[in-house]
Amino acid sequence: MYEHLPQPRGRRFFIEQERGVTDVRVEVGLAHVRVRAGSGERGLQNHLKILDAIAEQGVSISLVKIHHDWITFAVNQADVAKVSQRLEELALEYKIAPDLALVITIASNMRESAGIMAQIAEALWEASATIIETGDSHNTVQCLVPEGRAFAAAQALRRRFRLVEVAP
Amino acid sequence: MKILVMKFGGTSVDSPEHREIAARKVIRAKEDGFAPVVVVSAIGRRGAPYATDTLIEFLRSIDPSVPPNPREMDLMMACGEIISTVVMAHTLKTMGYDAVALTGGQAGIITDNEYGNARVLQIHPQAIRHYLEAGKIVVVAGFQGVSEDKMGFHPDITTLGRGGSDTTASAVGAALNAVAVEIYTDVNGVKTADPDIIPDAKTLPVISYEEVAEIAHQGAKVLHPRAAEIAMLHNIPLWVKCTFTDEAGTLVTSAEGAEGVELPEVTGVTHITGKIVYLIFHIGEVAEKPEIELQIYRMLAQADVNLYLNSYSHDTLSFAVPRERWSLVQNLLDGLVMPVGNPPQRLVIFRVGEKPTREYQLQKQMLDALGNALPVQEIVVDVLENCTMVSLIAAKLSRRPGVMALFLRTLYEAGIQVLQTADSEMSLSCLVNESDVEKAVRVLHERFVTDRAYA
Repeated sequence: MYEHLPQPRGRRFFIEQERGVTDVRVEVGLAHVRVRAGSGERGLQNHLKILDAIAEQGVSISLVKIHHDWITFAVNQADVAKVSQRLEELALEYKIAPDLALVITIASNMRESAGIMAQIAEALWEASATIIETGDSHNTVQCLVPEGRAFAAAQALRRRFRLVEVAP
Repeated sequence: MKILVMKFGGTSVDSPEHREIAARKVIRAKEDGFAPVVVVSAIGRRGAPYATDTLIEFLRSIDPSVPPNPREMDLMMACGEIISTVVMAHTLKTMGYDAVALTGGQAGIITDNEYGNARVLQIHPQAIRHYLEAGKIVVVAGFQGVSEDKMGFHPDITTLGRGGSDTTASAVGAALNAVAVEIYTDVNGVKTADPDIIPDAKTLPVISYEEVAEIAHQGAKVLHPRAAEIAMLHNIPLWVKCTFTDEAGTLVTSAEGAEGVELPEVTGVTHITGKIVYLIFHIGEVAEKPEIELQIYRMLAQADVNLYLNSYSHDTLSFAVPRERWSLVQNLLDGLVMPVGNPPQRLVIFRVGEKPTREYQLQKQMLDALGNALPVQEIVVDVLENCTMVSLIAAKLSRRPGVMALFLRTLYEAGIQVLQTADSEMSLSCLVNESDVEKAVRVLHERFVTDRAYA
């Protein structure tokens, strides 16, 4: 009768971690920075100029991505003023999206799990959490989403990956 | 009883001479007061008569057009380790030591039912303990277990997937609460880079579980990451040692387990060996971008394609697919027509690569023949073939301000085109053309490991 309900996971594994998604976490207080660096040799020089300038401020960055004309990265919300100031000094076009959160899906060996990204995107779509940027490692997929939707996104992911118990 | 698990890989047991060297290490452990549990892989590599690949090819050769059942394939593959186990136990007997050979099932290794890539659920170690208490050396077949009981039938033999013997060793060590698990191989420990590229790469004396799992996932072949993860879960010290020398090797442990030895700031530089194809979808800055992205993900999930290095921008979506899946992905995407909106407001058609293919042109002609019923948008997909990933494993550094700048500067100064980057708490990675891999490994190793230029 309740076959369609997701079953709680993680009850049978005593030696090895269960395959698939094991946890979902949220980190709040982030902003996403997009700087037009240009392309070609000028673009490369600007990448270094931008990253050096941010480092001089002692600001830690993550989710660094290189796009055709842009370089993008995430910073702590508390560092936005410092970052803005340095980018103004460099006279480069930039945009900052504030009030974001990282929704982190943790799995054992993400890279052997076809379809996890689709499931994450489905869950975030259901939760109306627009993905601003993603990063992935062998055991995580990190999605940067508006902070206001982050907890709904995490709940949707927990339901989808059966990390919550569902009463019959 | 101080139980020591000692695992010997295929090249450590591929000749009588090598088996004798391995057996002497086991005997020395026994003489030193340990109760050794030996885990062995199949004998030799592809071409050797009882190597796993040889057994697979033998079964497939019956009729290459008919794939064997996964259950029967596991039964076949498990034979290699069983033969190796018996040979090692008998070798020990000929050297005057009482030894007993156990299959994975006889050793009590219970797995889930996923043939070819099973996970260890639990281990009932009573048989191993019984033989150890009787003073015997126990030799366990790596890479295998048995499935859970199915309606009272005898369980099936299952195999644990790539690196399965390392996994067996760690799992057995965890179940027996061993004092340590020693993984013997043909290199003398965990290196700071592939010695084929950096001949003087250093051997790390100590490394954390997380770091060794990371370097293994990022391409280093010294230890399977599942073995590190099991050892970490159960806090069992893991050693990577060379069968053919008496060097100390590398201790894999927790930060607390390092006992005064400082864990390295930079673990090393790794690269993956398989080629990958990086795709950039020029979707445009449109309201339906999330829906289009979701549909792309759905389609590739249905085709069982792994995606990684996912990246978004305001107008693109990018990700990598394994080279061996590229042909399938290309067939799926090129000329694909996708309705967007509910009800559909417009159609998008994907064009893969610079030049329109015949498939794309045919689809486009058919769309054009429909007239202007719905507007059509073309999504061009840029394809970067023959890429691979190079990673700097540096758990203490990856988030330090300035390190990403140094990482990119090192590559740019060497004239290496960086196609994309990825970062995590453990590592910084870059996607580069395959032709640049060795150069990228060399310059990153020189700057971060040799010169410690970040310091």
